[in-house]
Amino acid sequence: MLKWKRIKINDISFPSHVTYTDHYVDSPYAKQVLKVLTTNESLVPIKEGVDRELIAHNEENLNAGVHINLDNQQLDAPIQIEFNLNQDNPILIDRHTIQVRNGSTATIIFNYSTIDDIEAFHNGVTTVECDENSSVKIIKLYRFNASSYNFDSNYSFAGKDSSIEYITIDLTEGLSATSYINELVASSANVVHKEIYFAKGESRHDHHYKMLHRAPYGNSKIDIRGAMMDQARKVFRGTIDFKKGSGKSKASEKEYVLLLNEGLASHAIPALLCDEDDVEGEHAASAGQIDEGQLFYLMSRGFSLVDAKRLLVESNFRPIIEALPDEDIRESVLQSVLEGLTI
Amino acid sequence: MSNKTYVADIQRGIYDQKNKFEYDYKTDHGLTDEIIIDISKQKNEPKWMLDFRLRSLDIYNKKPLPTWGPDLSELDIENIVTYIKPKTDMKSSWDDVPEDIKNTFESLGIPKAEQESLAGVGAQYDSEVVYHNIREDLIKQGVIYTDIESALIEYEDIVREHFMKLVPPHDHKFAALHGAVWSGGSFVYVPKNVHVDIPLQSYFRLNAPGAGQFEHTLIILEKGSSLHFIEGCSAPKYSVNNLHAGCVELFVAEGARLRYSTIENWSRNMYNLNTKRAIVEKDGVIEWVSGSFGSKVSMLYPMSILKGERARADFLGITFAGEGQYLDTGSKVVHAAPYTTSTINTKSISKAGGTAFYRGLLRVAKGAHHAKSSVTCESLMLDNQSKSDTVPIIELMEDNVDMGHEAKIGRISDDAIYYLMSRGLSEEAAKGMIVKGFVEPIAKELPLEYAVELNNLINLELEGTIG
Repeated sequence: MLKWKRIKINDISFPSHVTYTDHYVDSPYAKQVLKVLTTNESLVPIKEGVDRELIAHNEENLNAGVHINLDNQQLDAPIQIEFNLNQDNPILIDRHTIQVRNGSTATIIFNYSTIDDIEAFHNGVTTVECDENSSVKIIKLYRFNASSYNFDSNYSFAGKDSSIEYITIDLTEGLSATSYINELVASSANVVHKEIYFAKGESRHDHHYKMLHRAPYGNSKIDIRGAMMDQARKVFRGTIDFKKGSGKSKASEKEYVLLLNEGLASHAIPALLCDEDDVEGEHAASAGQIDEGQLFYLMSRGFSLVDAKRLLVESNFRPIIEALPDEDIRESVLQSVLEGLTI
Repeated sequence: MSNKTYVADIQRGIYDQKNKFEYDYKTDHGLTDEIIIDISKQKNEPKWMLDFRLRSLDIYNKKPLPTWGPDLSELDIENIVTYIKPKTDMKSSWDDVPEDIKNTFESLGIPKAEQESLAGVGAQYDSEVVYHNIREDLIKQGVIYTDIESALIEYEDIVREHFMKLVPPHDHKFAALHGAVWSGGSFVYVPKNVHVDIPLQSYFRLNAPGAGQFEHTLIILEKGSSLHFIEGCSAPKYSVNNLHAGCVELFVAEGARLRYSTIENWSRNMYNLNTKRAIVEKDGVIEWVSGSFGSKVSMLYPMSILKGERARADFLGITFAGEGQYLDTGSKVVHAAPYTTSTINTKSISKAGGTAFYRGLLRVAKGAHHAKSSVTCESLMLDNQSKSDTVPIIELMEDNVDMGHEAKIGRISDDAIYYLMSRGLSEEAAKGMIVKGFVEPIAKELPLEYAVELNNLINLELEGTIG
């Protein structure tokens, strides 16, 4: 398949089901709104994700996950779901179903990381149904080490006047392939996806986003900011698709990647598909090095070269980091990025 | 460009004028070794060219159809006649060209343009070039402009060295088809430091129903030379499908500059599967100006390979997809050397159920540091039966680059129409003015007669209602 060819992936074998034993839910609302999935329940089927084979593998082997069901509930604290893959739990195959109905609001944080140098494998699927007048903010943090595989397929349905916001931070040092597909199924739905990725070492990132506008007056936005260094490879594939019946909709996507040294490979395919005339769509992709004029200015103000570079990478990421709801998470993400910047 | 031709308003009717289908010789339908041998024999070609044709046919038979892009299932190659020799040899005076063929080119304005603003003209009718002429002063400077068959005899070594080296037959199925059945086309050679300041033009006319046109254009610019080459294409409409699978290879040497302008205005039964490629050495420049109208299906992605330091490619393209059309066009640029630059600017208009698809590739190879590229695609949709898609692929293997891509899709803004109508314009005139303003950056780069043609085409296409 093309996408694997682009980041030079050969055959990957998927592990079979093993039990995942760590406790991973931290929420004051656990009992009210959330059920832990341990067996193969009736799941929302998804048509598309990182890869069909991976979706089938997830359905057959899942070993963790939650079902969140909100009905006219406004949560004032985030639900935190944290997976620390470690020596005892190196394989995570999680499935999450999130339903937000009748004017509900919630913030859900998924925090994935690896402990030590284990060889971790993650294959996740998350479905989101956000119905009329509801809103949900979903934050996904991926911090997998260089020996890990991270696959994560996300599929969401945005209903009338609903709002879904994704913020993803991907600092994976191994292989990370993620897919976020959103269907705006009823009028005036809003979906926003903000992402930071930082690809270093020999990491390979393949990020796929799709906004399927099926109804009128929809709004969608994809805002991706990346930084790459060492021998990393990355593919960005973003698609805005205005289907028939999506008149008066607006969509935009942009990706900006900072290339910090030689020997990288950065691919981008920002597609814009349109079956409706009365829409506004635009996409932009750009890439380049840190601006030398800005570097010179900062160094003339007393910054060292390394500090000036870090400051400029940070300033590129900051608007998205600031959108994270939790101070501790903001700090730790920034710390991870700055520590990794060995420029 | 000085001394531009003025061409009065044209009617679409001239493109659809059919001549009686007469020919001196034609091959059978389909593709077999015998047909290929037959074509080669008709042309009295050297053995290496026959071998090349047969090898290409073998590649064609093994290659699959593209799995992406427009539907090609209605294209039945077995029913296409690949070689039709018109009832004339090549002439260098219009007076010697048979009346009906001459009338066709006269109605297209070719002889008049030649008199007024061109340094040389080639005119192809079906499979063979029927007229070729070049100004005496250019001949004295060593410029060669002739049909490719003559070049194969007179300049065999040069042709052999360059022929299908940029677009090898195994590139894709229709490149292999072209390699097997190519016929006609132009050969241009501009010596070192010679500047051809008045354009050369080749016009390709396909008159026969159910036929294919497979012309090969080979242009070689030596160091420090310059040329503006114009290519025009058209065909009348038939109820059976026609096929155009031409090939253009452009070699731009160090410091040379080539502008290649095209208006392809095929009829609505034409599959236009054309391949164009340029290789540009140090400090060289290739400029593409491309207009794609007509045709039922087009797949056309002119490619620039920037091989030498500081080489540059500029691409300006417009497509206009109307009812029943699927125009899948774009541009490919490979930055293969340091300090190379490229600018791609495309505009597409789709209406009445037409599909305009921009498909592009921008590749910065390892070692092409300080490459700069800017890509802009704008699409205008005139109704909601149409489709307009943009899929650019950007591949960067180098960090020291400056790359930007932007695309916008939308329709004519109601506010703009309201404003113009409040100033006394009718709704139709207001919409027409906005569309013309949209294509103006590209129209102004076309030779005048083509700019006029473009505006007329847009007028014709906009007749009826839009928006």
